[in-house]
Amino acid sequence: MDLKEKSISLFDGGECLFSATSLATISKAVASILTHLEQMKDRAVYVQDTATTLKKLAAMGKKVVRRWMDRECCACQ
Amino acid sequence: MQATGNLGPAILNQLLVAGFKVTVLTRKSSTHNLPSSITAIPVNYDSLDSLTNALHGQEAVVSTIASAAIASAAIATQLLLVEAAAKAHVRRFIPSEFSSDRQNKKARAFPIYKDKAAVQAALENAAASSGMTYTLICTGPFLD
Repeated sequence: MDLKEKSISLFDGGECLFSATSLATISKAVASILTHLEQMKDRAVYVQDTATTLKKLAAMGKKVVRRWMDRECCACQ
Repeated sequence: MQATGNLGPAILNQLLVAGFKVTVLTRKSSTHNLPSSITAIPVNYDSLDSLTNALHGQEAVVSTIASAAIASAAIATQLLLVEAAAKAHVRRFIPSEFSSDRQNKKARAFPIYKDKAAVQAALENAAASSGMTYTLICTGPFLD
């Protein structure tokens, strides 16, 4: 998503759900993991603020920015 | 490491708020504006000895080496860091994992994730040999 260019690249249709997280939440996760060392040992921990799709982000972009552009892309490029 | 850029400062501030005693490894060539409550140790990121010495006495390492850097020679830096941390008897290593999904087999085929796979393999080896443990924090892309 490029706010300066007022556009988003919709990879493979843009309907794939993905997690996204703010720096603040990630930082809290790091601090929390460091105080729960035993439970967090040798494993992956999944953290997210929201689950969204590129199409949903595009819809938000269109609402707040005039002349918004969606670009269809293939992720294998 | 890498307490400049976006993620590093955010994590650094949260750790200070949470009451951790934080040491930051800085590049010998660079200047920084870190608060005086933090210990800054200049290191040579290409030297195993320099990194190992700097990490002695540390309980955990949080690496925020940028993903773009990982695609180039800096992958070697993170691997060296893992080796140094194991040698210095660090208890926990948190690599700069964050926005990739390591457990997804399809995602692992993407070139950028090959380097992250190398880091995970190094961590698993370190766990087996030195008892150093790791945590992978998977967050997806950053919202800010």
